[in-house]
Amino acid sequence: MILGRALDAGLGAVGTLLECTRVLVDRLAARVLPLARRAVERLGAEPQSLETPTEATPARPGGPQDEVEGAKYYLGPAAEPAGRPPAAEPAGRPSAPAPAPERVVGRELAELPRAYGDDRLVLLVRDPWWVYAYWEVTPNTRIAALRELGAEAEGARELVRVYDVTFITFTGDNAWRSFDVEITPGADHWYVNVGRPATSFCAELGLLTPAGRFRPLVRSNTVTTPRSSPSPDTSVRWVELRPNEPPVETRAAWNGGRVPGPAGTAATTGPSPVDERPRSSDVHAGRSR
Amino acid sequence: MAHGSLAFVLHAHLPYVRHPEHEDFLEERWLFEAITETYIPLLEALDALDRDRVPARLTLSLSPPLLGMLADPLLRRRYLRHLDHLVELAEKEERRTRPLPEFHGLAEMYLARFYRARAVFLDEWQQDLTGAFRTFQERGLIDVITCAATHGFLPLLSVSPAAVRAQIEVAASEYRRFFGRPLHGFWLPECAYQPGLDAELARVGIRYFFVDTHGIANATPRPVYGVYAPIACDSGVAAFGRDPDSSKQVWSAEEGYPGDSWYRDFYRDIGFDLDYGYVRPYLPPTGQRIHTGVKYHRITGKTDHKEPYDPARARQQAEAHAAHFVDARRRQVEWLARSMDRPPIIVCPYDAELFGHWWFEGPLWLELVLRRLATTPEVASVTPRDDLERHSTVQRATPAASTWGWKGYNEVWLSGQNDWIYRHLHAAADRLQTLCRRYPSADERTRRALTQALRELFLAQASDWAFMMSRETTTEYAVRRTHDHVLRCLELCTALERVDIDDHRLAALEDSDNLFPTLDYRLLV
Repeated sequence: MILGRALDAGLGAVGTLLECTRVLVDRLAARVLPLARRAVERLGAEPQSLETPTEATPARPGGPQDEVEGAKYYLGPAAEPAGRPPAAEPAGRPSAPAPAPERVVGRELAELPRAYGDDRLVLLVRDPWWVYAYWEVTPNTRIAALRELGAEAEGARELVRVYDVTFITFTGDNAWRSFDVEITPGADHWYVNVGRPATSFCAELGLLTPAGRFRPLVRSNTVTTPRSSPSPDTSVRWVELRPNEPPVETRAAWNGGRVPGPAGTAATTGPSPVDERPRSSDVHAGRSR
Repeated sequence: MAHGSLAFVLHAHLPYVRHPEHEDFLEERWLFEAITETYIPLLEALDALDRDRVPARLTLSLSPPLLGMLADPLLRRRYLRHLDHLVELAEKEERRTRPLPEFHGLAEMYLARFYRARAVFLDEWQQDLTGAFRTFQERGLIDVITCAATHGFLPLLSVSPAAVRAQIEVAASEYRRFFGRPLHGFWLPECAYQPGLDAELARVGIRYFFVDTHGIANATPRPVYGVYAPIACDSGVAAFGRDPDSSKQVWSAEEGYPGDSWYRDFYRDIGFDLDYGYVRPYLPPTGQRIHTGVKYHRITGKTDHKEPYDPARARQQAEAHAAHFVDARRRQVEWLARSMDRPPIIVCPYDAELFGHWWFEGPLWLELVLRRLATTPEVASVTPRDDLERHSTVQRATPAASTWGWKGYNEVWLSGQNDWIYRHLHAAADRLQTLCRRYPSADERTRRALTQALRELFLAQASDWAFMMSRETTTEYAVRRTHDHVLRCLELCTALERVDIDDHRLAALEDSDNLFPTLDYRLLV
C-alpha cells in the first residue's frame, strides 16, 4: 500500500518511493529475520528440509471451533491500518518498561540449548496414521558405534527402524514386523507414516551397513496410535461406580439394545488415510514372538 | 419424569498472562475482554436464574491459570483501570452519537453494560470473581471443575509421566484452595485423552472427564449407548462424550446459531472504524489500532457491508434459537429413549469464551435455554455428577485416544509450526525431576529454587503456545513465552546443580511468574 501510494505521486517522488521502500523492507526484516533466525536455530547447524513431503497439509487448522478458540487471543487484524503512526513498535510488543513496583524479570536473551547431552529418541503420536520422532545422539555414542563396526562402517547410513510391538514387551528382536525410514543426513526429527491405527510402535535410530547389518544407536519409548473406527470388540460388562470406592463388576438389566453410532464425528472430517500399510521402504517379514 | 437430560459444560481458560515488567501489556487484554464480555455476563445470567429460582444445572470448568489471574491483585487493579477507560470511551461515544439515531442507542447500551460490569466486579463481588463462582456452586446452580495445572496437552507431555502427574495434582490442589472441596470432575485440556490418563485422574479422586464424540464411538469394547451415557475406564473414572448434534448447531459454519445475520459482528469495532486521534487514548501505548469492545454492527451476511446492530431483533433471534435448541434436544431425547433402557444424557461442551466474547448474545441464549429446559418436562438440565449419582451402573470401556481439535487428534499441537517445543519441554521436565529427587527435603533457598523451576516448567507446558503457533497468530508472543519459561527452568536447574543460587534473581522470578503460591516441588520427588 505504501508502495502504491508512492508510485501514484509520480517521478518527482522517487525519493519518497525509495524512502518508503526502505521503511517497508525494514519492517519486513524486523518481522521475518527473527523468525528465520529461530527456524535456523531449530534446525541446527545444517538447515534443510526435514519434513516428509508425502502429505499436503493446509497452512493452519480450520473450522469454526478453532476460530472461536483463536478469537480469545484476537485483538484486531495484524495488518497495519491507515492512520497508524509510523515508527511504533511491531504488533504485540509491549510498551516501554514501567517503573517496577515489584522485582520483575524481562525477556530472556539467551538461546535455547541445541543439545541436552543425552541419547534420546522420542516418538509422539500425531494421529492414527502418523508418528513424530525426534532424537539426539551424543558424539560419544556415535563414535562407539563406528568403532564397533570398524571397516563395516564404510558407507553405513543412519535410519529409523520402526517396530510394531502391539501387545509385546519389546526386547529388540521380538517385534511383529518392522520397517525402515530413510532420513536426510543431519536430520533431528521426522514424521513417520506408520499407517496403522490402534497399533503400538517402538523405534530405533541406528546405522545400516552396506552389508545389511543394523547397529542401533538409541531406542525410543513405545506409543500406541489411536483407534480410528469402532472397536470389533462388542463384549459388554458393567461396573458400579461409587464415590471413593473402586469400581465393582456388576450385572445390569440391559435389554440388549444398542444406540447406532453417531455420524459426522470430528475425526471423520479430516482427510482419510491414504494407505493402511507403512509407506516407507523395506517392510521386513513379521517375526514370531 | 424426564426422558433424558442435558449437561452443558463450559470450559473457561486463558494462559497465564501477567507482565508486571510493563505498565500496559497488550496480551493482558485477553483476560480483561474475557472478564467483561464472558465471565461477568455469565455471572449475571447465573444470578438471574438464581433470583428466579430456575432449577438449572450447569458445569463450569475454570482453569487454574484463570483462577490465579482472577485472584491476582495486580491484574485486578489493571482490570479496573481497563474498565475505567472503557467507561470513559463509552461516555464519549454516548455524546458523539447523539445526532446518529441508529448508533446512539447502541452507545447507551455499551455505556450501561460497562457501568454494570464495574458494579458487578466492584460492588457485588469485591473484585473476587472466583468467590462469585464458588457462591453459585454452593447455591447448587453450577458444578465447578477444573483442568490441568497450566492446560498442558497431556498426551504429548506423557513421555515424562511425572510431568503429567504434576499437572493433575496441582490442578486438584488449586481447586481445593479456591473452592474448599475436593475436585470431582476434570476437563482434559483440548479434550486430549489417551488410555492411561484416567488412572492418573483416579489417583487424586476425580470421578469423570470429557472426550470428543469419536473418543466414545471408537472406545473398546464398543459402547452400547454411544455418547448418550458415560462409560467407565478400568480405573473407575467415567468418560462422558460430546454430543455431535448439539455441537453442530452451535459450531457449524453454515447452520450454527452464532453466525446468524442479526447477531452482533465480532470483527467490526470502533477501534478501527473511528478517527485515529479520537480512539488513540484507548489504544495500547504502542499506538496500534486494536479492538476496543465497542461494536455497532450486525453480521448482516457474507459481505463487507455491515448494517447497524439491532439489540431487540437480536434478542428475538436468541429466543428463537433457544426454543429451537430445546425442541431439538427434546426430540433427540425422545428418539434415544426408545432404544435405551436408561435415560440418555446429552453432553454439550463448549469453550466458555464462545459465550459473550465471540457470540455476543451467547450468555443470553444460554440463560434462555436453561429457562426453557426448566419448563420442558422431557429434558432435565443436569451435571455429569448428578448423572453418576442417579445412574451408578456404567458400561466398562476405555475411550479411544482423541482430542476435540481440528481433525480430532493431536495435529494442531504437533505440526511443523510447533513440534520443536517438545524436545525442550521433555528435557526440562526430566532434568528438573532428577534434581528434585535429590532433595527429599531441602533448605529454604533450595526449596524455593526447585519450586520456582517447577513453576517455569508448568508455564512452558501450556497448550496455548502450541495452539497459537499453529494458527500463526500471536506466534511471536507464543514462541517467546515457551522460550523464556524453558530457559528460566533450565537456568534454575543449573544454579541448583552448581549450588549457586542468585537470591535477587530468584526473588524476581518468583514475583514475575507468581502463579500457584502454595506449590511444592516435592510432588516431583
